[in-house]
Amino acid sequence: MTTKSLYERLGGAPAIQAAVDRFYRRMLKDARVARFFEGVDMQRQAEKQRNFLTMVTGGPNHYTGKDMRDGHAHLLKLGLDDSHVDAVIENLGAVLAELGANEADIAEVAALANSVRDDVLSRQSRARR
Amino acid sequence: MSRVQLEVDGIGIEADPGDSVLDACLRAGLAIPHSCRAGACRGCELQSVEDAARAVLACQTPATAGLRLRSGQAQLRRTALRLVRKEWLGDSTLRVVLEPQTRLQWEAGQYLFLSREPGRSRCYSIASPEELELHIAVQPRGHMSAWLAEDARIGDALEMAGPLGHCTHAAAQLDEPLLLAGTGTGLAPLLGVARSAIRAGHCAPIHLLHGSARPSGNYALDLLDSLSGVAVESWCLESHPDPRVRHGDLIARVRQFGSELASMRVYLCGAPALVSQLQRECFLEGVPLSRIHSDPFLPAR
Repeated sequence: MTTKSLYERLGGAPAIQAAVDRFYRRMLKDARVARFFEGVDMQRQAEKQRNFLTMVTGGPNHYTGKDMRDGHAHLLKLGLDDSHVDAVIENLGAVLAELGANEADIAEVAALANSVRDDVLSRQSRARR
Repeated sequence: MSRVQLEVDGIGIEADPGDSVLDACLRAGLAIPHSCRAGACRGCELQSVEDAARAVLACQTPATAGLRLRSGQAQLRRTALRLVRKEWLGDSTLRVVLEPQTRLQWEAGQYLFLSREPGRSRCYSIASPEELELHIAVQPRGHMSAWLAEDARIGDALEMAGPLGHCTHAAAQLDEPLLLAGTGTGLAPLLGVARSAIRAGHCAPIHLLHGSARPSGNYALDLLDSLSGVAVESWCLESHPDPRVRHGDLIARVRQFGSELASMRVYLCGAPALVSQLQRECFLEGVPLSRIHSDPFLPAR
């Protein structure tokens, strides 16, 4: 039996595009994380979020941990920490719920998103320590 | 630190030391395809002009002086032009019309790289679907603009690379209300989109909002008056001697559309700070990013 990825079940690339709009809008309206998006190129940011959402829903991606480290390094100086990663995962779950994902899917996506937490925060991976 | 000059497809590009070739190209308006920015997807691969066999990944290569690269993109082919008309549209804005010497296809709202000598170019948007009309903000010592204003004669030869860009009416549905908003010569691509829309038989309302910080920036008022089928508004932060120009702020005006915005297709062109603020406002009001076309105009340095 083959199981379809959440990416496929949500409707592939067009659905991810719609999810990015919702996700990004939530982040900009979320006082906990909005300041990290000041002055960024929105189209470029949306493209990064599209890659991220594709990755965490199991779609085709060329995710590298280096991207996540490089992409967030400058935000560490602005105080980026675990609480902000939590906020991102919470917003991600809320968007997926809006789009009809079930609880098991959302938990799985949260686990995948959690797996890049150390890269985002430029920490040594716990598994390797 | 001093800026470095490199060349892609014969177009001179200025970069800050430390920029990647990709960042320098994108900032100059050269749309090099790219995706991962990590050297993995090879989407941004360019070739060295000196050694065609040498591949250069634009995202991984620092911009260095004298670097000469080729993208192989067909859109960047060069076309010879002739100046056929020039006229002032305001105190410091010139309209020029150029005639391609070979067949050229474009969409109004796209931009091109105009040059009068090899290796130096300036970026302008196309204001009309019918002729190659550009609006030039004339700078006192501008390499291109002052030359066009003072020295260029009808019949003079120029060259262009392009056209590029997606700030065009092509993506729009005919029944989508359009909001075209911008400052300075950002009016040129907006006018291009409005004219294309009219020509295509656009049947939903078209709002064209042009703003300026100073009265001298509200150019082309007569031309805008003559545009039928478009709701035109000119705005200035200072009071303006011409009664057609309203006193106020473009961002406040766009906010007045409120929830109406969510159903609109939005085009934003001009000063980068304003473009990015309007982009954010429109997005938060519910416009999907895929329906926001923005073209921030960076000053030539």
